[in-house]
Amino acid sequence: MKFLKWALIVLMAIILAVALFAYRMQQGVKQMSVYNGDWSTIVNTGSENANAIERATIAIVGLLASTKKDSIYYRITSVNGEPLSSSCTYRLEGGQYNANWWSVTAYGWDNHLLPNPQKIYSVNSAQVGDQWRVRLSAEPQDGMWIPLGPAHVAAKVWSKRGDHDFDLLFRLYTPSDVYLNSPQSAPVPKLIKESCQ
Amino acid sequence: MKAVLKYGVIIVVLGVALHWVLALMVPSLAMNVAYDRVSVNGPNQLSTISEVDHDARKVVRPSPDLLYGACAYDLSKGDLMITADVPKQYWSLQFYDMQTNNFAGITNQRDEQWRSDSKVNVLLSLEPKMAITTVTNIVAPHQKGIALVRLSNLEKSEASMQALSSVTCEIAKS
Repeated sequence: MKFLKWALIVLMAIILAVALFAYRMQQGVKQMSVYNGDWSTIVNTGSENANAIERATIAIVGLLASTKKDSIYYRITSVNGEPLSSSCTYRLEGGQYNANWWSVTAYGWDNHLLPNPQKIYSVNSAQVGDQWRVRLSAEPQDGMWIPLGPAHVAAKVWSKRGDHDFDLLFRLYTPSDVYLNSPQSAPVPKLIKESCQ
Repeated sequence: MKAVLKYGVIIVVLGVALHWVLALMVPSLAMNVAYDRVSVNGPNQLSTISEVDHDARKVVRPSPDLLYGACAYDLSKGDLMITADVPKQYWSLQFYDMQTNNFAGITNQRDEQWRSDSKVNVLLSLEPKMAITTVTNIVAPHQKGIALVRLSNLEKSEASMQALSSVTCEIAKS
């Protein structure tokens, strides 16, 4: 009986520890994030100065990330508070950004590339000029297009986490000082929701 | 009532302590998972990802515009030699210990642009080695870790593939 009592106490302590850890992780992501409109970027990735919670957060959200001087990542999961949906069409537009090179890649809610027979997952600095526009949609689009996967793939939601169907990751390699010093106001692509089914 | 309060305090104190233990364990657990994935065929060997598409599910959030080469190293078997032909385009070799620290790196960017179109020979060791002009010596803080090569593949060119295939990772000949 005494053993059972202590086993229950330890079990409850473990549950509390996991819940507290998950909460601290969420807070850690928020505290380490800088917002630039709907885009956010985590500072401190790869830093030796990170504390235990930051280090654990980085291990989960950005394992093997480089230092900021090497690369900076911005992520977007919603537009004007509305989670990105694979049943909508979005327009992504922008220019050239001050870095050695850059790319914007679409990922499913499971953190993997969105399956599509065209094998188009991203737009990068070598593909576009000074002004560019790309559409993101499950349906084929004229001009540059990043498929959000066939509709039946988006429907596989049995173990989906979070509200968004997909997100975009804007990577800048060897970013200029404006991204290192002012990530909250540096130029980033603009994402606009055009229509939904 | 007193007993409930006592056990409640024990649960909270134990829970808070365990959450710190968890936070301290997560980085090495995550690195161990990554290490095991990279070293499927054993440590001190290069593993490459030359085509990143939606079937590349071993790596979370892979970039389709990069080529990757990874080497899970174990210096208990000797010093590690990494060699590579550095291309003109973005190229980076970063070293991570098992606590996720990015403890060293070399690149062909910023003040290391001179490395473009050259060959790099990196000797990773646990203690500083005699200086040799053609070899860059990096001292690792611990025996195990991961060395990761990233190079841009924006135009899916043959040059990028050649640069990736030029990378070697093996125990240095004494």
